[in-house]
Amino acid sequence: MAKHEVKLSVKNFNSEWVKGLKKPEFVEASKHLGSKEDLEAIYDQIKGVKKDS
Amino acid sequence: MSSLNQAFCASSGGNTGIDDCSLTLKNIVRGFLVPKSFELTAAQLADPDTALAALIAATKSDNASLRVYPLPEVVGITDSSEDVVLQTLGYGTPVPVRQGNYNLTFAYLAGGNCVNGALQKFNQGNYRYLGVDAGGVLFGVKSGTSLKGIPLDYFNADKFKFADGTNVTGFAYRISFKPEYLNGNLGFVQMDLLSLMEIDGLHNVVLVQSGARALGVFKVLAMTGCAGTNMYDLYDTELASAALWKVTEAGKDITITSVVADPNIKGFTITMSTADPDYVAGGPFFVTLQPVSILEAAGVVGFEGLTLKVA
Repeated sequence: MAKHEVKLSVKNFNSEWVKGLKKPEFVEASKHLGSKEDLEAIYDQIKGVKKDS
Repeated sequence: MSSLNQAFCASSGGNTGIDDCSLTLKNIVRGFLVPKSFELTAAQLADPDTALAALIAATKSDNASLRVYPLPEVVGITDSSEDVVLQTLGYGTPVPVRQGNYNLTFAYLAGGNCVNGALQKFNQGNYRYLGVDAGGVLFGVKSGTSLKGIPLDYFNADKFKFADGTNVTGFAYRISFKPEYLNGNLGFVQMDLLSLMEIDGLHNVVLVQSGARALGVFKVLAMTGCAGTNMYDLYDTELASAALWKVTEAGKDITITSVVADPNIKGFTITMSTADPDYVAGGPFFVTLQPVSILEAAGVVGFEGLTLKVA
């Protein structure tokens, strides 16, 4: 059976916990949940990092 | 004022003028078990919508001991109330000793065995009763300017009766209370019958572990208590939130770092912080959902999570 992909969102995470971590630490601790790119995007959103347009 | 050797005599009788409009209760169509402390105040009773909102809010209280529990719709009543108890004196004169207790048995169908099992948990409880008649009158005991539940001598949800080819499976609960609480002390408020009938009790959410626990990670399914419906189908987005779950170990909260929906099992992946000072890898962990009000604020309305032991 095909595996379904999960769309991660900020709401999935404990933002207070995330804010206490560096990005690599967060990605490492959450690597079982999604891709590095997705996790880094989530981290940036929680940290309030704005992407350059 | 009291005086020596002067007996207290209550006023004899009451005025019996008949107003243009008076209350005659119709058949009882549902009831509520309410805690002793529950009351609808004068301010709430002043507006039926406010009274209804207060009643509904009480059915969703985070605190189970302060919660109002709706009883299922009544489909029949058996009145086994005691008659007036008389003593016959030596020369044959009968004297009333006391009014007999009300003993009412209500038959119901809605909810079947599942609700019957839930109601039986109240059998040794100390609850009061609010009734609803077919005209939308919510009745209980008048306490000052408030409406409170009728103190019960007992509530008993009976064991169910088997269907026999002529009769359907029988479910019933019975209440017994002293007549003094209603006769002369009846409290009531006219409300909208349909609104009262639509009040639903909370639904249990049963959590089931899916697969083995890994370091700091486990997966659960969330099922409704009676029907066993997988809540993922309705609330996969809402419940995939770290803010809606609670994990403890040895009585201490463990930090949840994330909760993510897992469509492959139609469940949720819960990850804990292994850096939490209270986290011990050996477990066991106890997981549940946050209180009713927090779930409701997140759009998961009318549910209360049970606790799962994750070994």
